[in-house]
Amino acid sequence: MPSVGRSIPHESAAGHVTGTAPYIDDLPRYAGELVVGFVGAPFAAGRLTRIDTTRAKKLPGITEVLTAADLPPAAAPRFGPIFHDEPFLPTDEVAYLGQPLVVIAAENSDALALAKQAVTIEGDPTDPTLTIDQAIERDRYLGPIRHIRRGDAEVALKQAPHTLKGEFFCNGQEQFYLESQATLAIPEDDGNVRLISSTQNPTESQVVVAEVLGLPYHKVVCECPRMGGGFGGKETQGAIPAAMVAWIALRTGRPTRIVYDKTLDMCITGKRHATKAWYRAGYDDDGTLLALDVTFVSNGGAYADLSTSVMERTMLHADNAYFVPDIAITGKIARTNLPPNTAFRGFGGPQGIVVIESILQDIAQKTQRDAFDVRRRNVYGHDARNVTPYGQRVQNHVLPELFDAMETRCDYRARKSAVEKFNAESRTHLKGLAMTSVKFGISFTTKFLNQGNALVNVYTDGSVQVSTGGTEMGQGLNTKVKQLVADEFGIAPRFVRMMTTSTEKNHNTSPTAASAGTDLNGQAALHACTQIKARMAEFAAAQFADESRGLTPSPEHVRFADGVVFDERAPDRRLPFGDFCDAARRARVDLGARGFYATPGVDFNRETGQGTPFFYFTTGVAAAEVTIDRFTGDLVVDRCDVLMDVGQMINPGVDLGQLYGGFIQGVGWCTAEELCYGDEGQLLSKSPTTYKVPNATDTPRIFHVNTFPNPKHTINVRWSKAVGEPPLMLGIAPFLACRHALSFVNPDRLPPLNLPATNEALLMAMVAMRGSSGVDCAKNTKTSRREVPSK
Amino acid sequence: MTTTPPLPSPPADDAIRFALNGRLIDLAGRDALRPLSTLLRDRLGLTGTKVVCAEGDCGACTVLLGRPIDGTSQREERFDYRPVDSCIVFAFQCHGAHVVTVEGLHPTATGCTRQTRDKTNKPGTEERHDEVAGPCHNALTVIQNALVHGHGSQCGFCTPGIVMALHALRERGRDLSESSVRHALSGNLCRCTGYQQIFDACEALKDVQDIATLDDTYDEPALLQALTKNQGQGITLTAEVPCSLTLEGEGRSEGESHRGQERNGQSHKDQSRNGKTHDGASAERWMHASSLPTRTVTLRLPGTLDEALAVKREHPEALVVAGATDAGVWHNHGAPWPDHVLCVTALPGLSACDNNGDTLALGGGATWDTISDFLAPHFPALAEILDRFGSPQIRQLGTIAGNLANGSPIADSLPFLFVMDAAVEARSSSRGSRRIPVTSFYTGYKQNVLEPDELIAAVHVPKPADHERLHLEKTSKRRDMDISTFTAAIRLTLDQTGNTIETAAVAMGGVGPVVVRLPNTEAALKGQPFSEDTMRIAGQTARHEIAPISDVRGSAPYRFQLAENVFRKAFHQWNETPVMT
Ligand SMILES: Cc1cc2nc3c(=O)[nH]c(=O)nc-3n(C[C@H](O)[C@H](O)[C@H](O)COP(=O)(O)OP(=O)(O)OC[C@H]3O[C@@H](n4cnc5c(N)ncnc54)[C@H](O)[C@@H]3O)c2cc1C
Ligand code: FES
Ligand code: FES
Repeated sequence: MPSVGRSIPHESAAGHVTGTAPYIDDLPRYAGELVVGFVGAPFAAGRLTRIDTTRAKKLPGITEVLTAADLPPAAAPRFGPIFHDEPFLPTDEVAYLGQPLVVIAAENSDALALAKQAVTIEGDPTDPTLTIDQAIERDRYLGPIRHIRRGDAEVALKQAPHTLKGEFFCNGQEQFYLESQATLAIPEDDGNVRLISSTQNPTESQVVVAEVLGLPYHKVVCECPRMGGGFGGKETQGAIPAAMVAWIALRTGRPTRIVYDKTLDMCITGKRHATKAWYRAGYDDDGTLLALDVTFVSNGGAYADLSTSVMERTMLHADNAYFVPDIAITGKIARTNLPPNTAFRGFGGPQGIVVIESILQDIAQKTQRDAFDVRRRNVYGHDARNVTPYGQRVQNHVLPELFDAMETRCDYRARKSAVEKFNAESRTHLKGLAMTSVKFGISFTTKFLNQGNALVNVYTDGSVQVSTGGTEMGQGLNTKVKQLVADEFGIAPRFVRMMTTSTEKNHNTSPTAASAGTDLNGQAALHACTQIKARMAEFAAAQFADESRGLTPSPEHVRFADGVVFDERAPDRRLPFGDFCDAARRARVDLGARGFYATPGVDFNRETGQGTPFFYFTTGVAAAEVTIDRFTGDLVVDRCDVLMDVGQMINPGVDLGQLYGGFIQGVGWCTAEELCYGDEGQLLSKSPTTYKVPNATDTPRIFHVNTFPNPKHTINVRWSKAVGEPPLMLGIAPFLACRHALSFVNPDRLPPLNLPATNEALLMAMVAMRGSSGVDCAKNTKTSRREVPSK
Repeated sequence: MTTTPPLPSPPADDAIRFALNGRLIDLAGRDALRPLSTLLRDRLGLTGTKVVCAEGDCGACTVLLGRPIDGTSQREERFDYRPVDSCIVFAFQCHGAHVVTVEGLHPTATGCTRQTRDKTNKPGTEERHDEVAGPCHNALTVIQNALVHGHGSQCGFCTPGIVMALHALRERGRDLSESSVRHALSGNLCRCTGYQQIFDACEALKDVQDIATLDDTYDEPALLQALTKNQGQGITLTAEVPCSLTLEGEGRSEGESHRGQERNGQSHKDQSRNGKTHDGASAERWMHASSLPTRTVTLRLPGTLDEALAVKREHPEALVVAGATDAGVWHNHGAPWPDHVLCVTALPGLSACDNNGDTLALGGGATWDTISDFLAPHFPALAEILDRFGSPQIRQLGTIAGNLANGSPIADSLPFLFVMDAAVEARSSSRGSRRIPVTSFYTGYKQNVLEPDELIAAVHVPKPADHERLHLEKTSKRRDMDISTFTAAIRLTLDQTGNTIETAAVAMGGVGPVVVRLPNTEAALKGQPFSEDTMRIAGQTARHEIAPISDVRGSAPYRFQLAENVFRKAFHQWNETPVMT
């Protein structure tokens, strides 16, 4: 029985539930192991004048106290995944609060804590740039300005019967992986070092560590056994702590470990980009979009990190699932004094999608039409209205079908009437109902990253080890690859073992990101299996050949299934797979192979803003109903229905987990997760005490998540589709349901509601929409607290 | 530190003793002062318990804390297991209890039952497809098995905590239906799953009867006997802790003295007493600490309230630790130990709740879980608020005295106690008891009138009269496991007709440095018709009696607006007629 398509448990599930699956901080301590921490910049912007470490060095139990001055001469001054603009340890200019300056290695954490307090850092702080608006005012940007255009949006806007002009702000989001950044460095002989790291990108860790320490790459190996969550936050951000421990390990010859505590992690690592959009949309009486001009500016933080790629994806998702004839999309990145913002599930997509979904909601309110109808009218078609602003055709999709199916499944019309009736009657609560969609492009928009490699070793008892460059962070990549490989050899998945990801076995790999982990690594593993099987079939054909029965040797007829090998022309003769492998080895058949895969056909020219950045799209729709307390703004997400085309699922249990989890993470971004900063650039919401990710009781009481068949999708590994990121963007549905609810407060005003729709934001929006209600004290929120624009 | 199977020699009076996964642990010195999670992970190598936030706000570190219940017959003698956040439980608070970690759910099993069912270990001879993927280090409990097969874990970092919270539910005899599981997991954050597959996995077990409980696993009477032998007898122990903030040759912070030399001597003694730990490497890691400057902290675990009061008189500056749901967070945020620590956790004579005719007496050491059950019949509105107080884990340990003594302006109990005109009973060993009206208990931000030698022994709450209306408001960013942004209590008595307000009491929190009563607002309500208009006027009056600030939990304008609106919200809730024309 093939295992692809079955919900076998996550490969580490037994280890998870018993607590025996180790994470970095759980690995046994080595004798003589050092613990590492650092002292960060005491201000967010300005010059350093003095770093005094003499007292710290003298403390008992302190092994190393290092600054940039101690770096080897060969060290690269700057690193970065796209632009090399970030220093490992800055020498004179500080770019964000808490930026690492002094690295300390200690015998134990008591000594470390003491030594941190003994370091003196002095400098000339300057007024930090924290918000997008401040950066615009000060003309501080990162990377080039990009455009994607089709037709002439200006002219079309002039000709459109109606136009809508607005501004939208969405706040950032903390990844809040439960396992914070952590790396263990083990020195090896001859100046080599092995890193065991919680990273989505072992290759990047290897490269950055080598560069900032002035080593050739081959002296560094980076492994990742598993992560306690990543969500994009471990794509680049693990490099600095990894460099710290590698450095100490090489200097001292002692194993060295760093594990951030949660607050430190939240304060100094990058997050989802806060993004502001200015738009003008043109539409007709029916709510059909005619033109859109939108400019996005994201808060990139202090260094480029992945910001340009993230912005690219924002721009490539400005259309979402909707056809806009004339469109002009502009993207810029504000350079501020926050930690460099980075990848987070959706990678800029959510910031693009939420804008057009809001625009459509507002158009519905303006035209007094149902928002579902407005969206349905604008959705990409099959034969016409099916080309994206960047020139890629949307094909083999089921977008209109998804809309129509959801309309009936969630009983949209009846519930919409019920909501209207409720709002007319209730003095205490408001309800809203909205349906949104997602069309998420799958592939890295940077072409070269669309590759993967895998190593498959078959042993003489028929058991198999598989190594890929993909990392396991809970998303089930390893489980799926294991199923793919098991089916290739016709054996049960338990005879396939997924090995620790290591740059020693799989090198020059891409980050496990862009939802493409299974697509790339699964294909690469299959490629390796194909090679081994070809050799096996050759050998088997000779074994099964039987002149007496008229069977000539025929590799094409060799089958691997149900744990046996046979010639399908004479299936009565079956060799157990294990025995067969043993015999093959004795006949000197090579039972191992390295596979490689490069996604075909993807290419995007970011200079012209045109091309085919995506191999295919993962699509879906969601409907959400919310209730808001008119007196307190308290929001309850009552019901959510999610319907997605995710192709043929390799493991439905795993994929559904991605749908549920991704959706709820999106709801968190849209409702309760609020990053607040102080005037000095200090994060105020810096632990789960003040940063509220969704709780078990926030999961909607009614929560239907289903998949939708798409027989037209016949590409990608086993006809599956990537599922990791897309559902997150359906979490926008409850946000728009809030806007729908608010529209009942005053149908003549568009709700002044940005994202997230916290209880506070909802209450204050209701107050604003009603017009001042004796709100004599309601002066503006102190602006330093959050980045809230007027709308 | 020693770990032994029962039954060992009687416990010493300078060490604490508790059971951990069925084995006895005697702790002295600094180990007794460590957070339980640190002890488990770094000293005992039990890394199944994860730490994420170290402040009680994620539940990743959840373990079961079993306290002895007095049974009438020996067969009824057992432990009452409750989920707690081990990151903010000090090891000494576990004295006399049985701690069960994820490693202890199945301590006897060695092989995976599922794997042993598979006769072959070679592909090709026999194929099974219902396998558990991955290594089976342990047999799985029914709950664990359900999570494995129901895809209840993704990255797995929250999972041990979730498993323990679910087992806690079973230990208390509750079912695993979705509504009960939602509530039980409201103290456990999971970032990956969106929780639904966890609910579904549990729902499938809803009707399963034979889910083993810990009394099947452990010889509880034997453990109880070993633990309760010297019950009621006080313990004093000293610990050397590293000096904080004070560096060699630099100014010293108060109460700190350098004992580098003595510490070395002490450490050898510690070593020999410690014997072997489970994890040689981690012991090694801590051994090096001997060279740091240290100071002595004296910890007392009194056997009786009188003894506790005597300690408090002798050392008025002692840090009192009850549930440590505040103190544990301070510690993890770097607060130095004072020279004296007085542990009143589960102290007999401090936690009882009594119905005294007109008043209800809540023991100062009563936990929120206990108080919620006790007060629910009298104050359903309070039970609703307490249901959202912290998390299930916090409610098992957090006490009312701790909440009062900490005196946060957003403490959830205060508006209620203020409008009820509750009295705080402070007791000292020399002067006995006195009652302080809670409304005059505070003198400023986290400042109160308690004398240094006093403990909060009880809180006395008058029973509600007829025709009373009580509304309690707890506004927070997230419904559960969130400190309040704004709190309010409105208590009205109506005349016979129910149309006129006879008396009014209004208190609010999160609107200034202390919780306040609002006299002008009360006056605006008193004698007025019980109507929405009256409520509107009260709300507008309230705005002028408060002075909220903007902070991370909410802006001042938001808090003003909440203060204005809460009256009308209360009115509608009282009338239970959300539909009006
Ligand atoms: C995750 C989390 C969530 C929380 N949620 C809430 C919430 O929703 N609402 C809320 O109000 N609080 C909340 N708290 C705060 C805390 O749980 C409560 O204040 C609790 O009641 C404190 O009680 P405790 O016994 O744990 O106090 P401890 O931490 O043991 O002590 C707190 C203070 O009280 C003193 N003290 C304790 N007992 C006595 C006594 N008998 N006499 C004199 N002084 C004494 C101590 O010396 C100390 O100064 C939360 C805390 C955490 C960690
Ligand atoms: S680690 Fe978060 S509650 Fe203990
Ligand atoms: S499974 Fe990753 S946090 Fe719960």
